Amino acid sequence: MSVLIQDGRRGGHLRWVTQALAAGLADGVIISPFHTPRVSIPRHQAGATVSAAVIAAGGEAVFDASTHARLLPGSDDVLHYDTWQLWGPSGIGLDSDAKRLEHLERVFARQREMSVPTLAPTLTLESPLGQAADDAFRTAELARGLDPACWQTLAGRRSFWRAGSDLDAYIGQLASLRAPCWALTVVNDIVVDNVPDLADTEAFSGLLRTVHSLSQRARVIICHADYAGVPAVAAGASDIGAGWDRGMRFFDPRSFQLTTPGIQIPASYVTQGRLGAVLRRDTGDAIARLGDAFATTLRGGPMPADDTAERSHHLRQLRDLVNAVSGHGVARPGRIGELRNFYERSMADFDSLLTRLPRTTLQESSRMRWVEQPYRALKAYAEAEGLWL
Amino acid sequence: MYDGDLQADVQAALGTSELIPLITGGQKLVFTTELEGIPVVAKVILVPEGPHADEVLERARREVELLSTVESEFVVRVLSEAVEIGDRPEAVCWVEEFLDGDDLRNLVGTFPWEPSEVWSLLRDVGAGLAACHELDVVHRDLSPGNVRRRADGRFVVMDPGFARHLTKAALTGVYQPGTPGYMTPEHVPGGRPTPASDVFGLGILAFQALTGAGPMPYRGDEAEYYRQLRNGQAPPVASVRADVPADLASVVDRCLQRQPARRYLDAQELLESLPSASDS
Repeated sequence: MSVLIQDGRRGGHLRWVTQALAAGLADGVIISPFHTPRVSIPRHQAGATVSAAVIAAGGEAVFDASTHARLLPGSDDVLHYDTWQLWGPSGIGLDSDAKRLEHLERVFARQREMSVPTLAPTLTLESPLGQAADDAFRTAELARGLDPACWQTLAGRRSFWRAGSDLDAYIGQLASLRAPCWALTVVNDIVVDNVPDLADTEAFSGLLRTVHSLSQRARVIICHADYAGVPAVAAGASDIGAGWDRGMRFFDPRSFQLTTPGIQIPASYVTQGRLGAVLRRDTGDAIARLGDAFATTLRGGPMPADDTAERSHHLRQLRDLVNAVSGHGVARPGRIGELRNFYERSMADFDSLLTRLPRTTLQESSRMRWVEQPYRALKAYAEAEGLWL
Repeated sequence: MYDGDLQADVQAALGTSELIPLITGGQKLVFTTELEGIPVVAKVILVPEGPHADEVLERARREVELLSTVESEFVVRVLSEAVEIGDRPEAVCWVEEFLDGDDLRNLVGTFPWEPSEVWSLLRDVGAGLAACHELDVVHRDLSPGNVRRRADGRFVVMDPGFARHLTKAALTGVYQPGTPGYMTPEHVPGGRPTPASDVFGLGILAFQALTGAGPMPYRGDEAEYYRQLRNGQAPPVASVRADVPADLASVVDRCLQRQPARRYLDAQELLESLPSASDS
């Protein structure tokens, strides 16, 4: 496993997904009730149909109930979501045993109908301390009681991942549930563009430390991560959730709100594989003018002719990087060293480009957010573990 | 203070022969005696006046309840119910099996031990803790005073008076017990005990038995001690004693991981990682 495609609401999603699976560009799909209905409607296949198609294409299908998104304030785009009928008579929420049990039974039932693994829902946590964290733990514990082999989810804002030893203690509690797989999500407060934001080094090193801990005894998936999730692969994660639209690459609260101004299509972007970055197409064109061979090397292939080609190109570049990192096996020093070398080479390439391209075409902030911030998070985590060799 | 003849009342309540003081002073009294001709120990907890009375009483009842539930030759056995003395009540007492040998507290001077002895410590105390963990009970106060080495070399876990039943957590509220020098990161106020906490506690005992010193000693400054527990990492045992076999050092080091998720998650998992007695 390495790259799982997050769900999306564009009409061609299932076709694109199965094509990507057939081409070996991805390994599976994470289905969301927000984007896929339970019962098919025009241009949207039913969840069971999607999972069957994915499995038939040789991929892995996962149904994430996305409860941590549903319970966010403002999550009101429930047209598809409500078709799943995931809540019982006690109402929506995970703040009582009755609500938890009713919700879990429904989520697991839907997952069994779709022949996908049972994946327990969770809450978005601000902190590993307090009532919400207790509710999330009790939900996870109850889920395990219902199905000892169920997978678990964990979702937190940056404040959660930044909580230091309190985070570690909470992860210890969760680890005691012995889930065979953990799906982790960094919940963004807001996503303003299509560029990762790992400025909070402490939070992301906390995430990596958590991945390190959980992956010692379980598979770890980093959802809605794309390139920002590759450091987690270095820390031991096996899969990252990715895709081509903003709501797939980032956990964007607006993806679950009716007020979202339409689908965000990054049509004018080109993935630069050697840089580990997705840059505007006009920047890609400017790089191409510096030399075809040079540009091809940076991109990792020819210039994608259209959106379809860019979707495939992006997945191929990302998957190659994930596989290069995870190719070192379970030994984290090898994984970390591989990604460190990648980032250091990428920063050097960015430095070169920044001297050769006008500032209106490529800004220092691109280097910072695509490479330097993840590098800092990786370094902070690895140094603390004694793995920055 | 109980103004009756405590020893006489305890003796009558438990139906034992004459009580011979073993440990006196403080809140807990221990006597050796006989029950139907068999050597036993009578334990008495004095219940203070005031707001903590109910808590002390409840803790004593729970210790007896727990001991009567756990079935392991590596956990001391209780031979009676908890019996209250006096009207308030002023004390609670019960009978436990008599354990020959000595507490680790009195054996600290014999450290460092040979690796084979430490393997036994891990195996026996691990088995006792596993019996507790199987019942979702965390001991929470593993220390040299709570582990006894019997004359036949077996180690036995005692005094789970601060044990916490994970599904009855409200009983102990926010109070975290523990003995300075033998606490775990989860003992720091705000922390929550898990079976992995007992694994850490056993790691401390094993480290001390191997090296003669605790991995995270208490130096009289509580704040500094808690900071070290929360943020520090115990030194690798091989950095203190180089001749510890690598497999034993690896087990002890894993027990002492600051992050509970990186330890053995409970004593059963620890036990399953240990070589058999004949191999160690």
